[in-house]
Amino acid sequence: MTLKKWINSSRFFNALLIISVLLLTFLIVRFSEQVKVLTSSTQAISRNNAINNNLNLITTQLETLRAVSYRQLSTYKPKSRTTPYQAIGNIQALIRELDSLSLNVQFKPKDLEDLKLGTAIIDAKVEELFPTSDTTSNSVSQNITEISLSDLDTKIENLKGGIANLKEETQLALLRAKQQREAHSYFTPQLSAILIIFCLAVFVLSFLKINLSRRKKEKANLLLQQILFNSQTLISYYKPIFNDDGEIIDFNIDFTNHSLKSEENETSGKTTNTQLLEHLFLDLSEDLFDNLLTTYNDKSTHTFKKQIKRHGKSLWISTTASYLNDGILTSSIDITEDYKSALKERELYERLSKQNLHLLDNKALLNNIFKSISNIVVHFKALRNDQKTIVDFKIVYANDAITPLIGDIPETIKGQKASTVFPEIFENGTFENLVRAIEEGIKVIYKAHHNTRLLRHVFEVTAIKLDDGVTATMRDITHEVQITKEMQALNEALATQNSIFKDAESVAKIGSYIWYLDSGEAIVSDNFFRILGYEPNAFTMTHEKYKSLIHPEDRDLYEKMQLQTKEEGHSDVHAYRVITKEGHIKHLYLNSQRSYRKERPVSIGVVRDITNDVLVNKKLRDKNMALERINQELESFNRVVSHDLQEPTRKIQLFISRILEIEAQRLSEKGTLYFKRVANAANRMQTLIKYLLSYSRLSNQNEMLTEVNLNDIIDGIISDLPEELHDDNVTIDYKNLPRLKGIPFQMEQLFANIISNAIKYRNPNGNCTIEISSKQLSKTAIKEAFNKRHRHYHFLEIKDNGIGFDPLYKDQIFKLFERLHQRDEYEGTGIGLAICKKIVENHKGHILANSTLGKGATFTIFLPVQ
Amino acid sequence: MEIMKVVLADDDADDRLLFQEAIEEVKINTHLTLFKDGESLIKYLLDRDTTLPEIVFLDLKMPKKDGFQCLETIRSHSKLKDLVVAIYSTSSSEEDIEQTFIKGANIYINKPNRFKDLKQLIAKVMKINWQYHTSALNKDNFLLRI
Amino acid sequence: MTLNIAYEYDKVVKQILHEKLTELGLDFHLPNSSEISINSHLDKQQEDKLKKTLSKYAIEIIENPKVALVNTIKSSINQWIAMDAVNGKENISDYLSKQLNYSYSHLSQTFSEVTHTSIESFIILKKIDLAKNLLIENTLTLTEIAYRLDYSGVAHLSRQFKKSTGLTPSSFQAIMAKRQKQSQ
Repeated sequence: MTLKKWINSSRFFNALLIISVLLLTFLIVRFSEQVKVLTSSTQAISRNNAINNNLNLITTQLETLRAVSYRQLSTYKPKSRTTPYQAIGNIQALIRELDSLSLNVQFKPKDLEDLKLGTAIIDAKVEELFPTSDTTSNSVSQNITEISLSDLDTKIENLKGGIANLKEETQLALLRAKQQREAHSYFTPQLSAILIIFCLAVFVLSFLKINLSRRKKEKANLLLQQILFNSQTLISYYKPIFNDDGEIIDFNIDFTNHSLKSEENETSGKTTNTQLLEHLFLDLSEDLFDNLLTTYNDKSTHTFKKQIKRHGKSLWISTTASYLNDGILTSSIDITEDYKSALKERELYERLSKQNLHLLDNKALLNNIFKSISNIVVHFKALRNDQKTIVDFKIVYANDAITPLIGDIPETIKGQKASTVFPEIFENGTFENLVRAIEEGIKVIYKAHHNTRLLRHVFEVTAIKLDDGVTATMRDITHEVQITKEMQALNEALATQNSIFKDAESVAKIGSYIWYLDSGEAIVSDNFFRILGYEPNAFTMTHEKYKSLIHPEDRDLYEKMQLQTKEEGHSDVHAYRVITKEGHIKHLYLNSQRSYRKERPVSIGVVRDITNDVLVNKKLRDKNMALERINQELESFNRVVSHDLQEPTRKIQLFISRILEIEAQRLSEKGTLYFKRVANAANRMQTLIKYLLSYSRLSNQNEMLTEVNLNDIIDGIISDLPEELHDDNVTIDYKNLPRLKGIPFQMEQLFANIISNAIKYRNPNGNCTIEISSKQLSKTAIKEAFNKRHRHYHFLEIKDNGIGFDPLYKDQIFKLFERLHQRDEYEGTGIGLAICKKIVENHKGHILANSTLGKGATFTIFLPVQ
Repeated sequence: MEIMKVVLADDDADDRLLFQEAIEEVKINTHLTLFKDGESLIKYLLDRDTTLPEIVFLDLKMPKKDGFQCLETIRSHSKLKDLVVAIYSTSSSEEDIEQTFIKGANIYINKPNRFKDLKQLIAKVMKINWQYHTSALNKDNFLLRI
Repeated sequence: MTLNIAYEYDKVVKQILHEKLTELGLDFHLPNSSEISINSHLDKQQEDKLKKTLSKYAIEIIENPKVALVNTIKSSINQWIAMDAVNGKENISDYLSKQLNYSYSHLSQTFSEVTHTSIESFIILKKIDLAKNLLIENTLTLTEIAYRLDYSGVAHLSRQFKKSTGLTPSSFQAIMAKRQKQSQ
């Protein structure tokens, strides 16, 4: 920046203006200060002058006094014009005046006191020299002497000295005041005037300069506004509005040249200073706010496009927003026209390319159709003779589908004559049909045959005229024809089957149904209707209808079944009763399965009329119950027998034993014998009853099986044997017998019976030896036939060396009350071995006996290993 | 041996008679009291003045209170639970025998067919019972089947 | 609940006697469980006091010397049964006559006279009683029990058991187990 430019700039003038103001202020302060000092020094000077004056007057008075005194002395005129007292009085008045003058000034109080004291001394001397008036006439003159006058004189001189001192002091003070005034006179009036003039000049200059530049600015502004308002561009200036949290909540439109606004008959001036959000003149305001915010926050420049609606027209506005001076300047241009033309261009392009594609598609489609369809398409061109009669055809086009027919690609026959490629057309009527299509211009549909090596093809041909030719579309219906035939056969078979099934249904008393679970409808077979007592299809079967046929007592059950079937497709309820049309109760058994028919959930099922079965079952059950009752009766009969029959027999024995004991002496021999016989009979009877009882008890044993050690069992049996047998050469050998699951006392009974049997039928002439042995066999190793339900069996063998029996009787001996011997020979009830058999069978085992007469017997027992 | 106090409850008059005769013929000093049914027996046993017997013979089949019930009552009553109980029955059912033992009977006697046997078994029961009373044998284990 | 207890009669009695006699300030010793040997003479007052104290425990001073002898025999038999059988046992008759300083026939006669039972059947009774206890304990097999009680074998024990009780050892065991189960 050059100096000249700087001097011309408003900033220079501004600085100048400020300097002049400061200078003026300084001057004023200085002046006022100076005036104040001058005033005080002037006052001091005038006061000192007054004091000086006063002092001079006092000196004069003193001189007067001295003169008066001397006059008194010489003239002796008591009543002179001026008496000493007068002079004294004047002096005193002057001193008082001095006192008041010097109140706030520079005198030392002592000086003034000295002055007052000197005056008082003089006063006293005067008093002494000149008595008061009443005495004066006579005595004064006497007192006045030379000496006394000189004394007064000295005194006056002293006082004059004091006054001179004071005068001196006053002169000094005066000088000081003058010096002070001199010291505070900084500016001379000329200087001040010059300075003031300078300041004023600067003022005027500055003002002119500023005014000039303001005018210039206004002019420029006006120009800018003119430009802005005449511009097509919308220019606005936004200032952000903050809320308490310092967030921008809105923008204030500080300025806008809103051309769009003016279209709404509003001046742009009004628009300014309104808040953006209140002023929704633009549809883009919302977007605008966001954009402005972004711009403001980023302090950057953004350009955005927006479509708006205005007077039903769609406008495109491009807005550029840039950050400026803590605000945002936006300029928006209407780019609608540009946008529209671009849009049109694009639309056109798109349409064209679409059309293009469509064409391409169509072409490809046609190609594909011809290629992929199984129909044979052949175009024949008519070949006419001179009489214009069609005599042959030329093959113009044939599609790929013809390949299997001619055994080669279509190109090989193109251009050839039909008579060479398809000679048969002249025989099977095809030629005539094609000619008809051309000559009559109608669509001809006919069937044609063509034989290949494999198969006789059947075609359905559609011939359509095209120019002077015909297009034949041939559909190979060979397969269809075949399928139709097959379908017919199948239908016949189904019909047969159906009728067979229907017959079977009625024979087997079975009905079938399909129940649509979604709608509740059901399709039921004819026989189902018949089972229910109705003619087939007597009504439409629905669930509700069917439910009404259910026996009232079974409806709950049926509900449950229905619910389960709906949810799971089948149910665990199967049997229920229905009431037929005739009112008969029928028992039905139902089995169903969930399935789908035409994508609908169904339950397919079969019902069987089980009325007869139920009745038979019921009869069986009744019989069973009757049997059970009989059994119970038998059991109680057994109990009665056991107890009540045993009692009398026991009593008979007891009393007979008593009689024989007490009356032995008195009874005759015969009597004793008879009594013994009676006792014997009673004894046998009791034994019989006991055995019978234990036999019958075996059949209804529900005892739990426990582990039985057969060794212990045999031990017990041996210890139970009558004492005499132990000494009677009876030996029982056994070792390592198994432990098995059984009913302990039955096991004991089993072995006890066999052992006692062996002892009973022992060889009368020798030792009795019983050997018990055991082993374990697997089921398959057992030859004997019995129901083997277990895998392994204990094989137990009890072998004796007794009299044995004829093997003929080996089965008989296990039968109840079967005896092989006369009672006289061997005592026995014929129950023992029957009990054994029953016990073994109770334990799911098997017992058998074998023997050779006279050579001992062997009992074999199989018991399951559990 | 001092006098043994014995009671028998049996509804059968014959059996009571024969039992009495048999016990009299056994050379043991006994004092027998007879009852026709279980109820009167229990009533007697629970009487304050009753000196408890050494042994109680019980028939199983009795009117009013049968042998099983009497046994249960005796075993569950603090005053009676230490009594020696002998079942005296016709039944030779294994089940009956086992059940009475399980329920706490000490002796199970099948009513014999001969008077001689009756006398013998009474003597045997008396002697063994006496041994149990005098020879520090464990009475809880006292089981005898005759 | 039922607790099954087992005790040794002799020990219990001895313990009680020892305590009570010491309490009474007597100078004594106990040769076996059925005899008290007192070193000083008891006056009438002391004797009554002793009788009274012991009667609380159902221990009676037996006046009859035969009864006293029988008791001595019984306790000797108990000792004999309890003796270890490993090295072979002395004959009971020898053992008793040696122990009690009487001829066996005298002892046997006295015993039968007082108890109506022979010494032999008493021994059987005693052994079967022991066998019962062992069966209830159910820790030994029948074979072991037989061996312990000096039987020639299981068969021998079973036979004697059945003769004595009318029941086989296993059915006795089963009954007692069920009885115990039922009372619980």
